[in-house]
Amino acid sequence: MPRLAGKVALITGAGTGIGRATAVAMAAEGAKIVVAELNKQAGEQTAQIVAQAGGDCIAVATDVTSEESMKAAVAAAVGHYGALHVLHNNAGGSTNIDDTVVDAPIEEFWRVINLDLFGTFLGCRFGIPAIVASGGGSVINMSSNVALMGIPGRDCYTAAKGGVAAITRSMAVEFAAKMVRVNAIAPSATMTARVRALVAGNASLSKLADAHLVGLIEPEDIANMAVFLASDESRMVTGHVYPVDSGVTIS
Amino acid sequence: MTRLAGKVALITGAGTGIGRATARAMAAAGAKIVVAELNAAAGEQTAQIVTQAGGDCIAVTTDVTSEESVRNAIEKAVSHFGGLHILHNNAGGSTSIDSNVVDVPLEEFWRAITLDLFGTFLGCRFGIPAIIASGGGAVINMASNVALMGIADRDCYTAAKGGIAAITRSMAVEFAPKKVRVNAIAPAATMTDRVRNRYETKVPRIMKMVGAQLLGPIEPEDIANMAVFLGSDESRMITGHVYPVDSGITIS
Repeated sequence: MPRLAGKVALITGAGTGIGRATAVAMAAEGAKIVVAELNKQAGEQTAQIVAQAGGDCIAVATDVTSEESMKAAVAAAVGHYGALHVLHNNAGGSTNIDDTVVDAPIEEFWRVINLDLFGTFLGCRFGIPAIVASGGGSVINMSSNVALMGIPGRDCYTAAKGGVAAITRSMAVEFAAKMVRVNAIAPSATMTARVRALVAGNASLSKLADAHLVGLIEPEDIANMAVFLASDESRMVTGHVYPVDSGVTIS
Repeated sequence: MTRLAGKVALITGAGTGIGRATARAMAAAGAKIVVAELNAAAGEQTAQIVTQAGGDCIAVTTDVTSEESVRNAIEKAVSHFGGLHILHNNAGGSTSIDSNVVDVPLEEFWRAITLDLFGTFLGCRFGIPAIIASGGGAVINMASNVALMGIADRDCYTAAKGGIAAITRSMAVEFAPKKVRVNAIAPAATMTDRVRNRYETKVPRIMKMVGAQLLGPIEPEDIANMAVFLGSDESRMITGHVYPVDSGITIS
């Protein structure tokens, strides 16, 4: 029996990277997938990849920073598949514009707070009632190792991801009684196409490799954890931030 | 299911409770199982349950507090199944004798430290070289929510479990280059027969602990599910962590 049989999963930012890998992995375990992605073309491409692998999937162009758009994406999931059980608030990510609190452009602070933190907030605002109405399920937020240890030069991203970790706990307490579990994954640098391009051919790649005790992390590694947290195997897990970081946080 | 296909797993304290549930779950996922249990009859019974469900399993009577006995258990695993990939240091657990640091009998301190902490230490001492010789794998230790938050009146158990959480991190750093991952699970009170009995006879401390669990009581299978995940290659990028499976206790 597939591990996510009968479940409907909405994944934001699933047009590329970790989101796409999670869409593929969850579909392979039997979930029906809603790809909620800002870039319409990238979203359609993920949907096509999932469908070609035998999965059931729709793409909904979604801006997670817009109330109206996020509400529409959740409504589309419920309208098309009749329910929602898994919400993966994955959209977001760091940029190389980010810097220390002193040097970062103030615009970068508001950009990342709006996308990573408010986007997660909106996903939960509309997704959780739909999950409750479907009899319960699992929210999977995306925190980061920057929320668990001191990483210099990314203070905007760090503020946003710390906020995501904190509301993961408060929402877990709030919605446990309605059978909604809320957890987060804290990846360290993951070899998405974006990160790969950022570090290609420069010294930061070997620095990354040195810090990652058991090798560099691929999007599929994060997707594996998302599948576990979405499945009933983790039915007694809520309010936690699980690192998937090749040992970076503890070393 | 083949999430652990081709892997050999040794589980200490697998004669009952979480250890037995993990033996069953890992076998169902395709692992070959070595039940390392002090109580020979209980160990044999787990082996029988696993075998009857179609699994491949042996039981080795093991005292995890004895160097000789743990070394022997690891040797049996390697000689019978040809390798070792997963070591689940599960033996141990709290007792109702435990109390706060002032009131507890000192004997309880040494009992918990010897069984839970030194037992884990010995499991790793002999298990990790065998895992390295087999090309790498996963160690899964058993911490507890008491190592992550302040829980009153179990100071011996808490000292032991805190030590386990700490050596989980240090061993993860030490053995990563040799392809050994080391993680721990931190369960809250789990409905093993032992705990269920105390719950049903309304032992106040157990009633309170289980009552605080946000999603309802934790069953041994819930911990086993996490052990399967941490034993599998799905978690190949996870090392040095203590993952709570606690029905929301730690964060609420």
